[in-house]
Amino acid sequence: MSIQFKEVEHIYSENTPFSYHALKGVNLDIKEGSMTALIGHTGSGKSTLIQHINALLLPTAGEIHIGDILISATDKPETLKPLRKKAGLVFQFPEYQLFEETILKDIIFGPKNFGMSEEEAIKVAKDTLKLVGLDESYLERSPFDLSGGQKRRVAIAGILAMNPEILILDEPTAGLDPQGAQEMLQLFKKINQQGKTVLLVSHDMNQVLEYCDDVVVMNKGRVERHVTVDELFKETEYLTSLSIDLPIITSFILKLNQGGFDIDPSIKDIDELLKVIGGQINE
Amino acid sequence: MNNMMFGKYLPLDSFVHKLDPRLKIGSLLLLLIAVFFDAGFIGYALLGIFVIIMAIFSKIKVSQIVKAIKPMLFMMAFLMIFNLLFIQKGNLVFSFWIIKIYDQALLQTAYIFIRLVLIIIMTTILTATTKPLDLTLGIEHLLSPFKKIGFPTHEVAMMISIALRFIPTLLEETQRIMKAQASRGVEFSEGSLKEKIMSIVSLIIPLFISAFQRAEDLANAMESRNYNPEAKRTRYKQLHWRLADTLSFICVLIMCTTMVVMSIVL
Repeated sequence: MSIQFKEVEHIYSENTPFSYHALKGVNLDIKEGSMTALIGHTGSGKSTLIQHINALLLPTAGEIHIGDILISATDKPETLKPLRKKAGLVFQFPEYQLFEETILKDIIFGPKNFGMSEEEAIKVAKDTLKLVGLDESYLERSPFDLSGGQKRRVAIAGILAMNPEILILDEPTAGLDPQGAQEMLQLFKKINQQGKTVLLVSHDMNQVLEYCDDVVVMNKGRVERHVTVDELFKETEYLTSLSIDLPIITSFILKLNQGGFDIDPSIKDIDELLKVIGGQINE
Repeated sequence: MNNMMFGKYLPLDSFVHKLDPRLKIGSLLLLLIAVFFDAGFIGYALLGIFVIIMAIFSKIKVSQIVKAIKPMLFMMAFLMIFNLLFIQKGNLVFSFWIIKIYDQALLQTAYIFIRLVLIIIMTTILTATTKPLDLTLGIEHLLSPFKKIGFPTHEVAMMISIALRFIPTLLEETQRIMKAQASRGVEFSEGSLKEKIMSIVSLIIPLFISAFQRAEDLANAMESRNYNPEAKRTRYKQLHWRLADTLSFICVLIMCTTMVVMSIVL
């Protein structure tokens, strides 16, 4: 499903001393089946933007098209359920949304709310729990006995079990160990390859380089770039001006090039890089 | 939930904002007592003008005062109806079936309405112009004479400031969890009674868990900084009583005395 933003504005607490202009004329067109990274500083409007996609926030002005559903300041869909089923949103630190006695009950909570039968939901829950890397012995345990990382996995499973067509993730790997973070990202990539649109908010440029196709840069409530990952990391000056670090591998290649090498900076893979370096040394 | 005005601090720069919190709390107490002296409509008009002047000096907008009064309207209407029906003194002015309304009842009800509105406006002025921390600091100072009889002033002030500190945090948390559960298909305003109960459960349990977690974290943080409520402490923030405070206090005293004198004379 595609996501389209047209001149979207969002102002929090309008007409009060606390008023805050979070989105300023946002235009955005995210293609179906893409894996897009959303980057930008804290307070640049990322979280506000993603909450518009399943109508948790309504725009102050402008319109949003999710597939054929229209959300605008004046007309919002009559019932939000169909939209929310299609666009699954995983908040930052989603482990705080767990509340059921058992992990099974917590995972089937979402699917059941969207009208799935109990038996089917249980079947889906078992599958998704495996996907996020926990075995079936966890099903009857209380979510509150788990470690932080495991809670995160259960919470993400709760959204994946709804089988949304758009998956929006707000820093899903914050606070996870490197191994766990990688596993989760590989899972999201796999879901993306099944044809789902994935939107990933991230501060880690290495993740962006490795897993995403496109990248959206937000700054002070505006979308400043919407380009492919390769194109973005070519704009080193722009990224420095936003104090966004380059991915480790890209900055390494740039340093090599300063030292006389001539390597394509869009290389993402260490083995490939080694081969190129080897070739150039032999020359 | 974000629209709640009552008890909210407004970060403006006004004369009243700069006044000493001790003065503001003390004045509010005196004025609250003065409101209950039966000084007749002239007295209330004077007090009303005084309150309006205070509101102007604190740069609060009329719309914000209206917002503060709104949530109280239901309670006010309730009180007024009961007063109208149950005070049976003076001359009968209106009678229908078992409903009898007397002129004294009308008078008393008008008084109650005026008193409530004045109280709400005055309290709003205090909370809108004083940061919660200054408020507790002021309370602690005003309570300090009671320390001699063993009243734990510092502990009470600490509890008040912690409670005030976490109100916005918990409101934010509530909204966050509501949104997270809404993404999982919970509709807080629709559905059958059973669904509604379930949606409240999905909000309250995570909220409790995070509140307890926060309490534990805060306790640990205080403990690891060696917090001891009985220790003698100095303060980063010092209260300074200025000339403007003395002058304002004199104005408040004059106003209160006027109310008392009028109520005795009339």
